[in-house]
Amino acid sequence: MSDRKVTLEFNDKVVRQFLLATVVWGIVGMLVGVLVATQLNFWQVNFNTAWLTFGRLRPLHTNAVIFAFVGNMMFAGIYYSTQRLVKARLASDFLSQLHFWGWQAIILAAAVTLPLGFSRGKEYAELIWPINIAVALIWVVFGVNFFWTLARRREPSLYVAIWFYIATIVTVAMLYIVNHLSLPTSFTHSYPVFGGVQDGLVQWWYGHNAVAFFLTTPILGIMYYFIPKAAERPVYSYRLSVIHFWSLVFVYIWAGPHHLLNTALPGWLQTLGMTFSLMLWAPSWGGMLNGLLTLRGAWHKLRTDPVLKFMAAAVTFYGMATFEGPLLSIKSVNALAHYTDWIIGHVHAGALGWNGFMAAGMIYWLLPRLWNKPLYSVPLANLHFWLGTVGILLYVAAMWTSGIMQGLMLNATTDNGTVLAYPNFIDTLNAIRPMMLMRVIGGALYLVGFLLLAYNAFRTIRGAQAVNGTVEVFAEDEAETAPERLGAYGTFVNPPVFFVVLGVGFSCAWMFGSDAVSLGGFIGTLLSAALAFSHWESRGKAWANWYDRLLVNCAPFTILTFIAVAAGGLIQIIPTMVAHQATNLEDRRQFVYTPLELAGRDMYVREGCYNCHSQMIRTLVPDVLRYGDYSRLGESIYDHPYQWGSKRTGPDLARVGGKYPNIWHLRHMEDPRAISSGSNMPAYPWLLANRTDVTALPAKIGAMRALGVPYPNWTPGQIQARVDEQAKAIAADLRAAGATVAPEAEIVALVAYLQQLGKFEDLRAKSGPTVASRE
Amino acid sequence: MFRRLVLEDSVTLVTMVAFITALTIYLAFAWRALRMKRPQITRFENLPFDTPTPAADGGESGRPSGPASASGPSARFSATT
Repeated sequence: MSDRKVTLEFNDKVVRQFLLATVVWGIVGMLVGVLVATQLNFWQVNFNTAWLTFGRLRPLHTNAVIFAFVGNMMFAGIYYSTQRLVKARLASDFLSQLHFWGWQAIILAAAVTLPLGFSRGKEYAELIWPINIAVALIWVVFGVNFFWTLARRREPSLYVAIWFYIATIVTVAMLYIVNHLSLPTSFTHSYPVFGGVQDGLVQWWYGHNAVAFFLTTPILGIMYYFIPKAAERPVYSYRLSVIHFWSLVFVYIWAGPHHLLNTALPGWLQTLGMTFSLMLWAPSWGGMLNGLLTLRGAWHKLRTDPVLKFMAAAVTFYGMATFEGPLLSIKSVNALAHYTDWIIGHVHAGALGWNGFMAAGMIYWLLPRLWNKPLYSVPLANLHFWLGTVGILLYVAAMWTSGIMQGLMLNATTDNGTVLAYPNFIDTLNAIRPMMLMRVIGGALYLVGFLLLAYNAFRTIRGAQAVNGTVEVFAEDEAETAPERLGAYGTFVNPPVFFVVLGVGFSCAWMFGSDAVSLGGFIGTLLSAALAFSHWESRGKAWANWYDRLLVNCAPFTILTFIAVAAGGLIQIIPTMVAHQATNLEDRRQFVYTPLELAGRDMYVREGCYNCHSQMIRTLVPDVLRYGDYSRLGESIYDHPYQWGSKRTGPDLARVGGKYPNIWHLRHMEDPRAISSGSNMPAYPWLLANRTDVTALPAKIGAMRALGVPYPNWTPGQIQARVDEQAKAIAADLRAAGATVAPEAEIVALVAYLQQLGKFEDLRAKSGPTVASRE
Repeated sequence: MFRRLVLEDSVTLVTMVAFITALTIYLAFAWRALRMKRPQITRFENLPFDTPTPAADGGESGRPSGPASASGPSARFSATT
């Protein structure tokens, strides 16, 4: 080996860029969060303005916090630590800049389109299809830059933080692409390819694992790098970190269905989601303890070092949130908590405590090192910590109290469980108003703390000279430290992989085969296990050698990680795709929407009504007493996207159709408080003024037909005629009730949609679903 | 709810098989992690300290040093610094 040393300069410019973007978007995301929390207390703050209503701003808040705030923070942390862990500069300055500016452009596009009402109607997946494609492309840029850097590494071993980054990149790509598969109807609109239960399952497979692989695994990688650096001591247990990684990768991906407990989702999926959620307790707490115990012998530093304060508190909140998550996944607990503020409290314990505090700790640690200047004010950082901590505690305590109180009230019954104790939904809303206000105060305190961080950062950076980190390496390190290559053959043709494939194959035969095949599969499964054990006993070194080589070969490692996470999704999604189709329904099937109803449904999605109203009556007595017969899968089988919802700030709407006259809906949308005193719902006066876009309907119905919804092959003229006929009938009914509104007004289409909710075709009485049969 | 009830019943097994498969693979990796040798662990856990980091006060600092005579994790750490 040559003894010629060279100085390698890291690309810290892009780290600084992402760091500053984190601060800016953090403020934006939190500011919008405080605004939407205020709107829930004071409806006037919606300003009767379309682009400022809760339904449109809440997606902006969630997307800004997840993708803009945590996203930028994650990229800064990953780029900083990866370069140092592998002793290589980022592979491409161009890709780094493309990644940064591309991501900011995506965020800007989201910030413009979401308030304008361009939405796919799925939580955390609202962005329209052109932005989805941009996200996928920029994510690929990130992945290429990252893996290219790994390929040029001078350190053959991959530290566990890198494992977490790899899992993040491959899993987020898979989740994002599958859940955003859409059929465009225009440049700004599309329908998801999945509908009804399929869409619900895919959505929460994505939604839950966005939390897992966007908000957790990259931050865990950052934790495993920055806490040892800040505490100046290695991670407490490297063995535990390895177990932490594999258990999260194998377990997390299965837990998505716990978001749909007690709904029409098939029981086996609910059981699967609950089982794996409970299993998550162990690895999550293992990781938390590993992070906290890294501070062994350094606890005294917490008194003076704000970085460690933030990181220790963040890991503690991680532990709290990951204790609460499995708890909420128990069906009986979920019956109380789902659709209430308890879930909001749980999410914010993670977002504010875990993500926000890890971000703050990392920023305070990086600022002096990236600008070669001490932090402007440590006391200010300490003040930030205490404001933030008090803010989170107020917020979370308020939401726990609110959620449990409203859940208990909504589920309370009298007369031996036959009558609701609080039949009026508004009563339960009024009961939690003080807690909703406390949430605003808690959130505002947290925001003030973060503003202090921004000021501290500004004063630190002002007049400072940005510096790039360097490391001395041997000139020929790159070539000489290349790890022993595993190759495609070595990756897949080896005892561990062979026996796993054999076992899974026989298991599938056992599960899905007919009698003889099933018996053969059962015997084969047992034999595979016995053979694998005996081979491992006699040739254990071959197994160990493969594993050791895997850890220094990032490509095979990445492929196997991908297979591990993909398996969890496939086992849930494929049976759902195969079995749960409209043609297999045997009891109820929803009517296909008329063109006017379809237009109204798109308005429902545009205004973000799903943010406050569910369309899923659970298989629980209080739900049935309050909203009517429990929802069947077939009643939303043609819904692209599904609209089951995840929160009930207002009542469920699954069977609202026909419950009230048309005029009730018009007055309610025009001024909710005129109909329902004490309501916190925004008013939608523009629905009375705006005209329904009928010209878009042929493309939309064409897309629906392509997705398998049994629409006849109507011409645009036929569509227009059907719209006119139904709209005129509704307008005439409204006029008779005392409201003059044009048939072309959007409110007419929305009323048409709301009035058909809960209508279905009884397949036990007859067969053959069509629009015609309904008409 | 669906006509294909046979398939519905069959897939309930998925929960058990999925659990056993994931647990087996996970236990295999956990076993390997627990069998890691001390020098290997020491090398891995000190990777974040292989690259010197500037001190927070704007000055320079190399690797942090641990007490040479200490036992436990600090001793493992100091062995490589």
